[in-house]
Amino acid sequence: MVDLEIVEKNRLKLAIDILFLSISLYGVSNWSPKNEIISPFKSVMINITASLQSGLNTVRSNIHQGFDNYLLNVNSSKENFHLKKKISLLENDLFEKEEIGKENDRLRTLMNYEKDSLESKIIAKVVSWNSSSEFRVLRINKGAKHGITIQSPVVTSNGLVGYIYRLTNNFSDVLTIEDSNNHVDGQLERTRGQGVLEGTADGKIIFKYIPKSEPVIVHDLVITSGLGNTYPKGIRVGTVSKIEKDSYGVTQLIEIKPSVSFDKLEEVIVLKMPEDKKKELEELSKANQGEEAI
Amino acid sequence: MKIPLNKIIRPFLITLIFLIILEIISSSFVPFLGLTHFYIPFNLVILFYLAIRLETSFTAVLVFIIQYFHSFFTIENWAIGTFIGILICKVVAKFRDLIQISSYPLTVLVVQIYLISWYLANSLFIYFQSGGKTIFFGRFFTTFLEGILASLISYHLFSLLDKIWFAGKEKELGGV
Repeated sequence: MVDLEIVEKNRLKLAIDILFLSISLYGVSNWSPKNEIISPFKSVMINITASLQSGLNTVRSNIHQGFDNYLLNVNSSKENFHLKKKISLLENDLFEKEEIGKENDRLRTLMNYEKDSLESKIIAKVVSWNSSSEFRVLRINKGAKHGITIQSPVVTSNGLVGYIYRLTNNFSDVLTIEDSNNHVDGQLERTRGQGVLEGTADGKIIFKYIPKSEPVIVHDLVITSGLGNTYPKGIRVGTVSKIEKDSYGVTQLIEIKPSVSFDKLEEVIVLKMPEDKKKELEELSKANQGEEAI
Repeated sequence: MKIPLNKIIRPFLITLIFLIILEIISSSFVPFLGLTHFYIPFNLVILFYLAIRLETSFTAVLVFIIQYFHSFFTIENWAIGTFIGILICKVVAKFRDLIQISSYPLTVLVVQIYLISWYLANSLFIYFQSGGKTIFFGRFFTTFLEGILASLISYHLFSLLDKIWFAGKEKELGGV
């Protein structure tokens, strides 16, 4: 009787294991490195958890400001306590205003970001980073509600950040150019040579498919080429930091230092493409696919 | 410890909330201290704890839920994590009687071995799926360092999880 119960339990265990292994294999086959369409449940959960992340980020920012204020005031004399308090209050106000001023400067720089393209811009704050070092993804506090769509390009005044990979109503995940799943069609500004930029597993960006004959030099500027329908043409990506030419092969290995300092990112701009331009690009893409099929 | 399904739900929900709190801190607080490419894999440490402590037919379901919740904070494919998780948890469960997490050094060692095994299995899976050789070696050093940090705190993490799962009960495996 007991044996029968154990056999039954083992069968149940095996059945559950096989079921979930099959579900996960199905999930693997459906996963796309280009973008992720999420379920309503996941969307709600991401909105809730991202709000908490955003809240914690605000707390961190306030603690940082408070700590700075403390450091500013710690040397004041005890004899002039009341005076010090007054000064402290004034300093607090001043500090806050300075911070606002700095933020305004940053935002103004972002707003002045000039491109000859027709995209409208959405400014967003970085809320958190991906919870796994395998991927280079950041979460921003703007989503579908603000007009962002999947695969919208994300930039700063310094250059390209990445594109929108995953989207909920209020938040979006940006797949940065440092990620190995992100491939950017790039171009050398000086020589106009074209290739593909790709992140590596150890956090570097390499510029692939540049022929050996291309006269690339260190500090050459790399911009987006506009091919691939994801990024507009002419956005700064980075500068050449290392060139390796092997005696074999037809291409050279080029390493890029990104224009954007990812460790210090606080605000980004999402480029929103006008509907007609988006449709035009989609049609062009479909036509290209059709031609390839033929 | 053998636990019936109705006794799993409550502590598992608390464990999930615990995981969410840890994920929020590691994804939104730690990166702004300058550590943008360094994360402690809390989900994996929790999965190890569940594999070693619980004897249940529903391990695969628990692995799936943990990995699915982890995917709210990352674009990492929950499906790969679930697949590898189920297989590794099966192996851990097989050696449950041999694996000791009763002392701090042993826990650090065992968790480190487990995390390296997970990394190798994950890299192998991605290699067979996409042929990305750089994934296999490129991240080993970072993963190793993350694993050291995770294994150093795992002893204390297990103590907290013991309180969630075995509150007021006798621990069976000479627990931490």
